[in-house]
Amino acid sequence: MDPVLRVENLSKKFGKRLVLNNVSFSIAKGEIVGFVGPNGAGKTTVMKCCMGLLKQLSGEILICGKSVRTQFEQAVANISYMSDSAIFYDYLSGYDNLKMYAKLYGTYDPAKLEEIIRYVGMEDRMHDPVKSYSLGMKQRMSLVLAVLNEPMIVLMDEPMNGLDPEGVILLRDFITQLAAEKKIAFFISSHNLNELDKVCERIITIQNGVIQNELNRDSEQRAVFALSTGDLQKTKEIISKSFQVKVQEKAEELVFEIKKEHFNQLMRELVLSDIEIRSLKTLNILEAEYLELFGGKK
Amino acid sequence: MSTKPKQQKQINRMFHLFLAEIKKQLHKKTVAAYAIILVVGVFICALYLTLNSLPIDYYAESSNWYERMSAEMILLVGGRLNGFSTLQAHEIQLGEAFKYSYFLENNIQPYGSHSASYLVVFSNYIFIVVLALTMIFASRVITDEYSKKTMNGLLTIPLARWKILLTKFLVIAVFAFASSLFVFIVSIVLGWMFFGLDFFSVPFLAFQNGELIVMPFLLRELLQVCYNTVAALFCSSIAVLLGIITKNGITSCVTGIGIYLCSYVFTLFATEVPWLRFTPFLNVDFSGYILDIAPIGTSPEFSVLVLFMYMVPLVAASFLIFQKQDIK
Repeated sequence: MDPVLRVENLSKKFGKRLVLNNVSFSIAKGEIVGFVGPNGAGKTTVMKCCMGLLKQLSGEILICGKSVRTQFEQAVANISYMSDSAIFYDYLSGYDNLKMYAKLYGTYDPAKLEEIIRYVGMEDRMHDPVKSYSLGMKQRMSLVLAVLNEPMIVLMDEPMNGLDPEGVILLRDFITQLAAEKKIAFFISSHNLNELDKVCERIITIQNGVIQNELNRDSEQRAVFALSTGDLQKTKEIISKSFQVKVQEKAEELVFEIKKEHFNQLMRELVLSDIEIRSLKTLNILEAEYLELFGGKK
Repeated sequence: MSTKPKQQKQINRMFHLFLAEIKKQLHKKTVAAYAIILVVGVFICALYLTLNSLPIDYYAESSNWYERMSAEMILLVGGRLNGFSTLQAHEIQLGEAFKYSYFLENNIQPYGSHSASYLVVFSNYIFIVVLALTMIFASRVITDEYSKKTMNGLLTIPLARWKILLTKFLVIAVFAFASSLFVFIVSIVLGWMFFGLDFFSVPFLAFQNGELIVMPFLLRELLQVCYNTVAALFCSSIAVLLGIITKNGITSCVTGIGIYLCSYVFTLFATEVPWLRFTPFLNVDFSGYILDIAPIGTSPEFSVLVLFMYMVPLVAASFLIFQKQDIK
């Protein structure tokens, strides 16, 4: 099946600075893909290139097989962008903003619009001017806007910004439901790795404008632990010897990654060796992967 | 999808964008503020005319106007025309002679300064206010989108950038025309309120390049509204280009108005430096044509042509830069 978004050898310069260097990746229909990288890595730049907001680039971007460069109108009709900054006219009401965009997309249907507004819980404030909204409310509005043109793929730049816990759950449900039912693909840039872990099927990483390895999402099989014991040296020897893994010592804790099925064996060996266990934490595997990929270089 | 429905869809989008642009820029408070400024402008003109008498009242408010004008006509024909040192002064007197001749031949008493007709003409002096408002409007149509980051949303609708900019230019043109038309209507209404009912039966007379132009008064005034729209569009095209380049509303606005004000300075040298009439400065103020004080060798049609000549590269540059611009 043709991917809904295909980026091929995308490079972009701001002045003389190369901000994207031969970026290539693709996203299939209904797929939920995370996009992570340090600040300034080029995540927003990639998204803006896909939306045709940044010009004079080399490489190719195809949305549902249409080139953003040469078939802009057809390509952009299949994509939407939930930007990190609100793009609403603050003196108009939320409803007027959405109605305006829906008419511009050619998809205005009052009943349908009100249904989505109810879904995101904005029906009580829809007729107030946008300038009176909180950041979280604007994000909810952006969520409505993101599906207004019935896209095949939605790009989301930091969508959790400003959302309360209820809003984050809503966003998660919104994404998974639309991906499953309407086969809409999502490409989500965020620093909230826990949330990405919950919704994404795979995670693309970028640093200094170059795509890195995808983060290993084998969280069903493996786990990263941070263990503090009465004898760190002896514990380190046991783990290294028994499981043949690398153990790092960080702030009075040993950090290591083993298969989940080996956890009981580890506990047994520590108890048999009479080692006092002071604390044990399971780290998010994505965070551990992320730190290994980007953190070590800082 | 076949080409025709696709085109129809694009036209619909442009139409909705056009309406959206008007809605975005002209919310109730702004419309009220613009309207008040223009009404106050015309009101001041009416007040000025009420409190003052102008030379034209010599014939308009006299019962024996025919005899007075005939006497002046004899003076003009009898040699006073040759006594003027500058070409411009000579032309003005010649024009007067032609106009007097028309009035006398047709037995039409000219209107004076205390009439709705003259207020309609005199209100052309506040065209600079219309122009300033159009420049502010034009600059806001562009720069607000950058400063409020709404350009990110606007440019992601499935419409090519040139179509978006074209729609914005259309909105500016409609605003310029509507503002000029509003001043025209307000001047008629205030004219009636200040000076009584006037059926605008005295035709418009102008002496241009050795020829007397006679036109129905209201038709000429409506034409003036169109000319003013062209002038406002020319200045707005500067504001739009600067707005796209600098993304700063104040810079684009001030520069555009500055260029219009330059026209007053350049008019002083119009007779000595004939080629100045090919610059936009001498053609951007159409009030000269209706007040019959335009430089020799120009006409409203000539000015429209010159302004279009300068507007084309300005608009083309706006489209080119906007098309290739990064929206960060």
